[in-house]
Amino acid sequence: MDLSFQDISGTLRLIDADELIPIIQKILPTWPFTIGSISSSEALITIKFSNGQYSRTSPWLEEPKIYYDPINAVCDFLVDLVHAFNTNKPEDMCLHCAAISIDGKAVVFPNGYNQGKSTLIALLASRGIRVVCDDVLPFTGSEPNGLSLGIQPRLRNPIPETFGKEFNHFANNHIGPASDRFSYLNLSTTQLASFGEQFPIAAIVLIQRGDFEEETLLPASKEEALKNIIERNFANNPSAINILDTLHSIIEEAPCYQLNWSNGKSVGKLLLNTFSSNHKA
Amino acid sequence: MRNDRLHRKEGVFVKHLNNQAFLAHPETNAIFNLNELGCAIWHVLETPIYTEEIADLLYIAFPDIPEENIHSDLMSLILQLEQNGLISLSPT
Repeated sequence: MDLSFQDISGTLRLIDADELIPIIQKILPTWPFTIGSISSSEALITIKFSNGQYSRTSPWLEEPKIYYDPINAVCDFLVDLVHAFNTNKPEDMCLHCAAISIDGKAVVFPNGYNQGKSTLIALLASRGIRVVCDDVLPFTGSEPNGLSLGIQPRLRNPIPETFGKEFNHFANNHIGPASDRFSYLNLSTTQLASFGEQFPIAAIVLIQRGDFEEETLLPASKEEALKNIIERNFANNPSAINILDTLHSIIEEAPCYQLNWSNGKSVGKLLLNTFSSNHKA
Repeated sequence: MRNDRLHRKEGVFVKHLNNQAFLAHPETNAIFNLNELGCAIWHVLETPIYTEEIADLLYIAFPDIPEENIHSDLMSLILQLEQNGLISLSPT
């Protein structure tokens, strides 16, 4: 089958791999795509199932990527989908980051690896805070705004059990497609921003996970925040001048904070107290 | 110390944030971050200037930093800026 996604030039071609379609639909519940029979045109991305393995080719792969688990195959396909999305929007940035929505604005967490971004996002979702993304956020427009792709958050297995019964209950009740490595959540449109929703940037929050006695949200250096988000941009099309100009303007306007967190008990309240006009401690 | 005449490369895009500078190279598409000292050096490179002149200015501007540290940082930064195509050197 050929899948055509909104805002992507070119198709995803599935060869003997139609079972991936319902998985894609669950992980991308609001990103519109059509399903059709294989056309004569060359596909942008191809996933072929053969001899027990899913093999993916694309312009961004030097050699085919092989996966045995269908969930992992779709999980990795999303990397190319985002590349294709960025290729279609050459002037826009795209950051590796997580983000939540508070009062309709995005609080962006741009950190690198192993600071628990996805876990933090899942925890905040369990506390009723709406998720914009847990991994990738394009920026669009002249402001610019963060643009949701509507991709379900993904947790590494095993799902942590150190955040209390309420979180465990939430995670177990919102599990989506899962493999041995990952479990996607299955959030509603109330809980997860839909594809195409845009959010002005409320703040940039650097996160540090550690054995802190007290979880805190304190002002951070704008220089550190700018360095961080420059490193997080992976859209190749904008020029360095465009990237620096855009990201500098974001940092100049948006307050920058550092969130030190450990068990997550206070993070929801800290973020809402700081960024919500409606929330009182 | 080598006393080269230093020139900024044309078209380098600069943004300042507090005491730091971020530079974007128009051709290599790389982005660089300069700390406070690097920022001061970049500022004096607004017009072509000799290495020793920069050093003398920095000794005055940062009297609390030992001159050998300033010298070492200056030479290190000049090397990095040159290697990354942000400045060019004309030997005297």
